[in-house]
Amino acid sequence: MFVKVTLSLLEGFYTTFEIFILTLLFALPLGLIICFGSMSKFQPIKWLSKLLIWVIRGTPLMLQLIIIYYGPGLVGTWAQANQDGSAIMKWLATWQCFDRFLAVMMGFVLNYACYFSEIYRGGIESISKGQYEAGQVLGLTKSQTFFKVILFQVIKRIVPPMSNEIITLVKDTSLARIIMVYEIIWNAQKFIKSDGLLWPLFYTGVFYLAFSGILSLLFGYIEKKMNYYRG
Amino acid sequence: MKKLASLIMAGIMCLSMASCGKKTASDKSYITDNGKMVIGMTIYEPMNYEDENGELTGFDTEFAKAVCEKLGVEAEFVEIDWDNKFPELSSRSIDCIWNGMTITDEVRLNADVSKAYVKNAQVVVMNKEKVADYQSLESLADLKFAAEAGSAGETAIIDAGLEANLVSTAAQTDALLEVKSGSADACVIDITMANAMTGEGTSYAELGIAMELTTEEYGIAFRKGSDLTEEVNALMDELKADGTLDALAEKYSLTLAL
Amino acid sequence: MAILEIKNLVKSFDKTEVLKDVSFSMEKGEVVSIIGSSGSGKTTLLRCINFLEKADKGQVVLNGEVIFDGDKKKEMLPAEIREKQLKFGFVFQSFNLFPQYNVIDNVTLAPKLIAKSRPDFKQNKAKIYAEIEEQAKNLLNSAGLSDKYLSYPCELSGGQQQRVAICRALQLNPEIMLFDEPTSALDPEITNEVLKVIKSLADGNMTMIIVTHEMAFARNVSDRIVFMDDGVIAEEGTPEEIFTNPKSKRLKEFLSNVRM
Repeated sequence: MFVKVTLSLLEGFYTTFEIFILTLLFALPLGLIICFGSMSKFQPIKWLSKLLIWVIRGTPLMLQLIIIYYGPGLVGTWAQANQDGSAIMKWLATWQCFDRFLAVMMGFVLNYACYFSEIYRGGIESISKGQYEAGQVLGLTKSQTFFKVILFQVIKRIVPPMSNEIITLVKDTSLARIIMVYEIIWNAQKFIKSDGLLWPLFYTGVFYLAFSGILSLLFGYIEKKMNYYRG
Repeated sequence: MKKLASLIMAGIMCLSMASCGKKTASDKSYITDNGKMVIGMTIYEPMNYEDENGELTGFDTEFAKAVCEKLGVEAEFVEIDWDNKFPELSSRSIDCIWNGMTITDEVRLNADVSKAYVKNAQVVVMNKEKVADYQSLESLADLKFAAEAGSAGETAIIDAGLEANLVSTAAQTDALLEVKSGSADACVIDITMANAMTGEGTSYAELGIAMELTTEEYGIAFRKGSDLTEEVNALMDELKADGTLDALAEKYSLTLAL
Repeated sequence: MAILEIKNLVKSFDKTEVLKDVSFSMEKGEVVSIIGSSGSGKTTLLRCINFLEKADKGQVVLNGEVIFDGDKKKEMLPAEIREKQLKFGFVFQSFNLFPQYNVIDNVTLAPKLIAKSRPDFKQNKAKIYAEIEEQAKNLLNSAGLSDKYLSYPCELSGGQQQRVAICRALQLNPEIMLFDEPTSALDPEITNEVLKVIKSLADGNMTMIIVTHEMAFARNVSDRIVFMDDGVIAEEGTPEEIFTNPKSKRLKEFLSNVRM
């Protein structure tokens, strides 16, 4: 039984890991884009980014997943029931639910990109104006200044808050089962229903702990690596 | 980004409106076009469960497959979160909820429901001769009851306020034994078992069913206004007529409501 | 011909007019110190010369070429500004070294990046980089930093950091060096090591503008002193004229308030 449970949980953990890694892969760059948006001098972009961050950070991820997954399907159903022949309603009537996993990814990427963007912003704004000016008087372009001078300093400063957020992500993946993406906790709960076994649920904790433990070590290593200078 | 934002906004607006939809475009042609009917269910024996080979089986599984065959579509079973069953249905993430679902006001409010196909009831079983005297709840008040501890029967006794002289037993069959031996006046067990174990030709030939304490009926939920409801109702009658459902009920020890 | 001419510069921040019609010119090899109380506009003037701020009105003329015109500033392309900025070396009050790079990398980062746009970069990359590093080491050696090539800024004293910053600016071979209060962030006992480096540049005939509070140093190193007060040049002249024979009341007040 132990082997059977372990295998089943590993299978669930694979999905957990998939959500985790894909979220990072897409949310890290998207967060930078949203961050630039929220710091943009072009007001509409700035306010749109701020609005997005407010909405995403101001609502539970669980609700976002439900809206992203069921929302389009519900719109489609509603439009079909209220068809008035207009092009918009015809188009709305074709709306359907996304694939479950895709919906989970959209929710997680968007959610984490917004949190990451605020961490980036904090990091970027903490770099003194003098660093930009030094780049400027040395004839560097804006992008050279950002990538060669600023970015590394930002990364050093945001490693601690980022590691926090990323470890939270590990645990947040359990929300995916709300829209029936079968991650590790779902698999564990199946044993309660089918075999009356509670321990697999608690056993999942071992997987989470091991994974976040590895991540903590990794971040500790990165922090140490970057500690060769102060400032 | 903009598109997604507007999508979310639209979603929020329509969540409230979707449930009060009027006549929907044909659901039947929708599933025929898809070539499959997506059936939302949870693992729940004996309706939908995995056998020792990990294959999905059960009364509802076989029933749904038979109906889909007649509809000419494939049956696709999706395990859902029971709490989200109505959003799943309305958003067309699934096409029906078919999972030994008790027909309640909540279900009727949120979906169209097929005819009841299986019935379950908690019934009062006692000596045949006394049955005629105990046809109302009031008449049961002073009886000494037996029921399996933690069973639906026991819950029914407590809900009816009859627990004053309650004897809890280890199994439903023990409750029957209590009545047969005279140490209890009556027991409450589910109707499927009562039908199978009392009356002529059984070990409890002298016992009979006095009344139903609680009843519940199972139905299939479809989207509001769906033409599948009528379609499946008709197919249900066909499957009853050709004996398929009786055979299934026998196999899984259930009582048909048809 | 004057190497640098400033004509009628005007600059406001929000509603406050910080520069009110400032003009002056300087010759090649000349050392000009700008003195004045805080808020008199001397740092803003320096920043307007090399585009860290853009003046609202007026012109900056370098070697007879108008490199900045307040009426046409919107037409300037970033690449154009960068190219002109490189005519000046700028030393900040707070050094602004890049903390993640060691000393030699701080000095060579910009020239290496700029070298990438040279047409012969691909063939001669190794040679170009070697030349840049050679030059950097020479500069650092002459600033007394020969043993600090691989140190990080956080491992250096303030005086050492400022000397690295001066080398970093010199590495780009500017025509004019601009110093913005180069010793104000330093402890008094180590200002001398920085001033010594600046003095040696002056002796080497470098054209320089120095905004400073070090009156003794200004007097010692400068060919000319500019006294700024409330956004205008209130008085200018040789160190002798300014320090021993101040004419305006404001300059007299200012000099009596600062210790020589």
